[in-house]
Amino acid sequence: MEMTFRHKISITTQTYTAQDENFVLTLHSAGLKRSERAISVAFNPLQRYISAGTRDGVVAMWKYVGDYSSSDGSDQPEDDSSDPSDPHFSKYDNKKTKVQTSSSQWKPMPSVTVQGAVRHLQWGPGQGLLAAGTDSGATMLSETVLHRSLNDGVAAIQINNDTVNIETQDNGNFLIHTDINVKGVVVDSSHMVVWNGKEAQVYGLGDTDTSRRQVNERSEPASLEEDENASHY
Amino acid sequence: MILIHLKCTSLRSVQISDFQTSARSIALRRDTLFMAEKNRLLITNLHGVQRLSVSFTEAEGIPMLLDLNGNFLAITTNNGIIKLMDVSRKVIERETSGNCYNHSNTTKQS
Repeated sequence: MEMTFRHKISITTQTYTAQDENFVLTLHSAGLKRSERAISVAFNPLQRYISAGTRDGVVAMWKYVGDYSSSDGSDQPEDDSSDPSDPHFSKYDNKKTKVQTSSSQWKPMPSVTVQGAVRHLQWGPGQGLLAAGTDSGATMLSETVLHRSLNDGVAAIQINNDTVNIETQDNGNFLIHTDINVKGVVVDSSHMVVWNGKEAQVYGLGDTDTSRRQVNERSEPASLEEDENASHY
Repeated sequence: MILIHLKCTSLRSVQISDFQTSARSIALRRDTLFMAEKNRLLITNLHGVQRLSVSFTEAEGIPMLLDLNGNFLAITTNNGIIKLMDVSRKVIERETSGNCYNHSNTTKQS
């Protein structure tokens, strides 16, 4: 089944006084099965996301990645540092612009699975916040930037909001589950640090014996008590 | 005689510390953390215990991003300044180790 966004695209073009343009975005283009059925849709004009909720509990998303051009046909400067997604950005508010859209300019984003059929979708007032209403409740989906760090032959790759995959050249990989929403990660050969803007967590990396040695050797006198506890691992 | 090389694959992690910080960015060098917090660069050990604090002037701006390569720490501020520090010394002296480069014209302040 193909799903049209004609109504939503029409709202978009009214906002930017563009010409009438209609096209189709398929759920299959977002990586969903052809048997999926869309039952809700929401558009985020600030970040230019279209999201669709399906009967099987999947939220598919597309992001507009095309360019904008002015009504007289002249392109906007490519080096324009202004961010159209900025809520204070008003460059296009009083200027007639033309949206040159086609289905190829909507980039599929990773889909998210929630519990139950997604009957309602609503973007939040801030950026990257989407509410999905199901028969059993509501799920808040928050956009997360996945971070990575590479140092001394050790790579830390965030794969989830609170999980980091550690890969080494010699000893394979393993996961570290933190209990914070990771907003940054940095790694070297023996330690990894994650933080979220309110707290930071430091992890020692290596085999069991190495970790013990690191904890004992690399501590300040003021933290000896914690280090002794850590050496009992 | 048979020589067998045993390769250790028992990778694991141990949480060393968990401390409160409002740092926007953190760099890691051995047992030292460099944290961009408020209008200063905070240098701590792995437990968040402060070793040194380097305040930034209003003209320099607020430190936003940190990146460490070898002995050199690069700090970008919201005023478009990149500040370089040699962190190989035991004591970082801001007056002698900081170099500021403006995006419009390169100026050396130290």
